Amino acid sequence: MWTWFHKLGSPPWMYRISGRILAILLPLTVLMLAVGAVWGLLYAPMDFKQGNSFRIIYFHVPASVVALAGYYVMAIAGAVSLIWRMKMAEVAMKCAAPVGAALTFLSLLSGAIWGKPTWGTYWVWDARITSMLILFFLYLGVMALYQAYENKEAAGKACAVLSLVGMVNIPIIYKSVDWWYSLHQPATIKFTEESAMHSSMLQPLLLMILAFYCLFTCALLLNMRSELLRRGAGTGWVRSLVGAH
Amino acid sequence: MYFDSLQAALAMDGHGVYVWAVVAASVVICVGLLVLPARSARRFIAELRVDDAPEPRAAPSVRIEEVNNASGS
Amino acid sequence: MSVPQLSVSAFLRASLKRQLLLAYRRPADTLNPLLFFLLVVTLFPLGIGPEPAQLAEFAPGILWIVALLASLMAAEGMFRQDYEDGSLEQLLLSPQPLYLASLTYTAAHWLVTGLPLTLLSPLFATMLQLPVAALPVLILSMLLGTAVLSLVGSIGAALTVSLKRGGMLISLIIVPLYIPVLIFAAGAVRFAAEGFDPAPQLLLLAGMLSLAVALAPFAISAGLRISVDAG
Repeated sequence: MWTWFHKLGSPPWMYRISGRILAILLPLTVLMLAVGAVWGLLYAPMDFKQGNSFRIIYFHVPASVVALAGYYVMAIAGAVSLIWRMKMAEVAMKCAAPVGAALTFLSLLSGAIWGKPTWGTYWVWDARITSMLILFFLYLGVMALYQAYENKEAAGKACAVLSLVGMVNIPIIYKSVDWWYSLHQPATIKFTEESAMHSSMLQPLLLMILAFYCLFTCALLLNMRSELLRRGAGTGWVRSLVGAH
Repeated sequence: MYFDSLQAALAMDGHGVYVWAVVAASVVICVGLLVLPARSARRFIAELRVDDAPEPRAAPSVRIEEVNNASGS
Repeated sequence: MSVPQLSVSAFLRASLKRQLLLAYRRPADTLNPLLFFLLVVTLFPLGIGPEPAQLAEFAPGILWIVALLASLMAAEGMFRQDYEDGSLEQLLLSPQPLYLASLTYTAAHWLVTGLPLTLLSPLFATMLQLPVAALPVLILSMLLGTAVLSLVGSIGAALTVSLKRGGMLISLIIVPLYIPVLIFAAGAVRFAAEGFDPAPQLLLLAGMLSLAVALAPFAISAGLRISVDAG
């Protein structure tokens, strides 16, 4: 019953299984990204108000959604590593941080580029962009804290605590930024009007969101494999792996 | 296809620069996310294999001697 | 024979007294954030111009940003001395509840930084031309908000106390978590200055304080354990 849970904690098992998962998921992810991008960029109809610049949505929204979800993945992995002292969860937490930070950066960058044709300026202190910027700081904080500790066991625990604190705070931060934005600037043009979106525009968006989730999973697994090798250097399974090739 | 020609798709009524810039950034980041960890793992395996090989064992000791000589002179 | 045990309340009183005594012996640590507050408040009119109307408009934001930075500055050294002289390790080994001990650390920190900042804030507010009508709300928002800042700052201080270069790191870790306090506290003062009812923001601040009092000590204790184990 619980064997899968114990297996999950075993580096060689995880390394083998992640390799098998990646063999299927990686080509699928690339395919979905390619199909979603071509569909969104070339085949989806143009937005009536924003023109073709609205096509940035097919990259901006998936990156934002997955970047936020990535923080929860990281924090939950951190919680598992603290509660059950599971090393594999700690590896997952450590490896999720740079992937989430990269996607947050992509979200900020695409949001800024999108701002130019929409608002006439590259940076607007819009509620969503501001929240993403804060999320970026939260990711950087976790990564910097991990780097700062020389004792990597302590680093993992400290980052787990910090990411949990961040997870409790994220809803508060998002709500407060929303309130702050509504106070200072009444909503002018929103990036997305979810309810008003036509299905021919929505379908490629949903595909891209799914593709970005898969991308996150692939990148996380690849990072974890690299980390597992490094941590396992000198142990039997890594030696036999190196020798077998 | 929504656009009449490739030209129109690239221009996107003047918004092409922004859209394609985002596409380029996305491609760079997505490829980086996948390639960098894979390459780092491959390199690490290569390093381990070099360490395992019996030949280059002499190399570090030579270097230590050089350091000692340098500090002695 | 059992070892004589200190009752929890006696332990908390002794712990708080010790913290305050230590702060009293090093008055510079207490005065520096206040001096910093005054200095930065002086910089703003020099930077943005002395027009009273303009200053009054920015005053709520300025006062709260500076209070936030002063609190951040003070948070860094919170556990430093106790970590270095080993009394933190003693505390972790003692049978006393770490949850409550973390709260006394935070309370002592607030009494020597947050409270003086609160008491001096009307003076600085007057210098920045904040309408007198907004002063009670400013004091109330400071009372509630600086307490949250102390609690959240303690988490960062606990996580970084064993690190040599903790200073910059604690800002990166803690500033994002300070943002809701800044938004609602400065918002409350702004509302009061413009003649609106600031009660909702003050209630939200009180809610954040309750949440922080309930949860932050867990994170602080965990952080202290990690730091002591790592050192």
